Amino acid sequence: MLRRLSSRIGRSVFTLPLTAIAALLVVWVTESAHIESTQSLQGLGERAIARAHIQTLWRVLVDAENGQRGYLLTGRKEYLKPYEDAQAVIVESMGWLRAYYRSDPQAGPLIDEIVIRARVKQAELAATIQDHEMGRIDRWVARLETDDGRVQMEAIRESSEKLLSLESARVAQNRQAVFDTLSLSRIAVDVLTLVGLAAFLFFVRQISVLDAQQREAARALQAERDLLESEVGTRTAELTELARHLQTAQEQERSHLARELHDELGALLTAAKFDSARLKRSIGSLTPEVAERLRHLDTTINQGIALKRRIIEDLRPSSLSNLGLQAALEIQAREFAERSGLSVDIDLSPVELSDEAKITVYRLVQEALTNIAKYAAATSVIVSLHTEGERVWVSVRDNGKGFDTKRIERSTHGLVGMRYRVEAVGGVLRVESRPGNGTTISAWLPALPVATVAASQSPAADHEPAPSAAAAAPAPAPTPVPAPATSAASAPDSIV
Amino acid sequence: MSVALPLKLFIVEDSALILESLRAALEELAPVVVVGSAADESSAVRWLLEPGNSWDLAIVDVFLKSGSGLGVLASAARAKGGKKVVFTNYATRDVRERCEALGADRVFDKSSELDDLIDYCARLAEPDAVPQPASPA
Repeated sequence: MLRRLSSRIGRSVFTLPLTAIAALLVVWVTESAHIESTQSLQGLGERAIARAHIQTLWRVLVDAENGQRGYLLTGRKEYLKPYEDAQAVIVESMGWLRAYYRSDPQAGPLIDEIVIRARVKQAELAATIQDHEMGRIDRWVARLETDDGRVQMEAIRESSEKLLSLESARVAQNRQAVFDTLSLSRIAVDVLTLVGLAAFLFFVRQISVLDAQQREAARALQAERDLLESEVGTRTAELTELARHLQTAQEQERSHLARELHDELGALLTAAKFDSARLKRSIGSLTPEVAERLRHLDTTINQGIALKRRIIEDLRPSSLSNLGLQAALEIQAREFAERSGLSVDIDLSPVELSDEAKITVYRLVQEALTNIAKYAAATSVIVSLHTEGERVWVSVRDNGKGFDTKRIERSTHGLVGMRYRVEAVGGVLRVESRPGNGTTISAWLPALPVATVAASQSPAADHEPAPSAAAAAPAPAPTPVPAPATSAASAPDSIV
Repeated sequence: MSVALPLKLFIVEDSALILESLRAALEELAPVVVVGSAADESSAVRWLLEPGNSWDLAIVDVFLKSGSGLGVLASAARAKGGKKVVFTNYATRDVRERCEALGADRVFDKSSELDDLIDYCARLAEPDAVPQPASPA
């Protein structure tokens, strides 16, 4: 509940104005306390001066009276010194005090009385001294005997004491006012400090709550992101798997179609061809018209056979299944060289690959050569195939005009499909090219371990007879390329 | 000597239709007799290596149901017997080179060289005669 309240306060639109008002209030309290205290202290100083003047006045009057008495008794002039000195001091103190108490209803009458009495006393002193100087003893003695001087002094003393006690009361009052102001100011500062501390703690709490909320939000976001990422990973893997499956299915379907075409359609066409040959030979004397029809029939059958062959070759290179990868690549390279007029060098050594990978290599070289013919404007091409440790490396390099791999690679479907095929059999494709510097397409595919080769080839022998047959061949070098051991070291042979 | 003995043929061909057409065509147009046939590599090799079997000419297709005509050629080299020719749909230059390297005497294309095969059989059957086709010119 406290948290709810505090958060409501924290969020309220009045928070800022309230804070500002509280701060201004405290500033006002301390400022006015400061002004008041300063004034009070200044007042205290002036009261001390006033006290000093009152006391000085009294003392100087006493000194003057003493001097007068000494002079009267001894007749020596030096006794008059305090009396003479007193005149100036009396004038100054009386002036100050009258100015100070001018508008004071309490102290004003008292100071007036003091001033009047002091003047009367001064006059009395002056008269007696004058009488003495003139030698009129009886007159100054009589003056002294009137007792008037004593009465005046008594009255002055009384008034002075009253004034001093009034001043003391006022000082006490002033002091009290300063204390009050100071304690009020202290309370205000204390309260503000406490409120500020509370606000600070509240603020800190709010900040930490906010922090916790932000951390929580960030955590939730991260969790969401992780989830999405793993989702994307899963989907990508699924898509890769699916695409790979489709690729395999496509190759199998092509292979199946090719076999079907060869076995069924091929046999029919060949049988028809035999029949036409027999017809030609068995009937000794043909009319020119029948002979012509027969020739036409023979031509039609030949066209059918050529068409069937071309379709089968496109679907699945017969050389690959009949003669093995190395020979198939040689044939492909030679046919490309004849077709395109380019110089094609080959540098091939025997490799062990899965059936899938063999087709991949074959198609990769096919696609690369097609691209060279279409875009590269090259004059020579090198096709290489070697085993590198546990991997088989195949590359097609041309000396054509090349291209910017960053710009072209994504948009060219041939390269994307090529990369895809290679990755689907666990390989890596690399395209290196620079404008004006030719293009090299390389792929590394996992080689079959020898044990796996033996195991996988006995059941696969039905569909893949060529490698075992070629391996069993007694002929020393069935291919026109140099032996594998030397071919890696020597420069590739030109086959054109 | 002038009496021609029928030439004993062994045919390796996985298509029954082609086998029958070929047998009919050859037996009709040349003095030959088909003494055996096989549809795959292993049974062909078994027949060829069987001591009791005698043959003058083996006609081998490259592309078989199982195994390959190339394997048959390689094995036939060890068998005592007559000539070996390849009769295939894939008579490309490579296939020809390969087959000749494996001991084939001739390679004929199934679609375009049937007449040549028939003439070749006829010549083999009459070794002393002048190379003359069986049919009248």
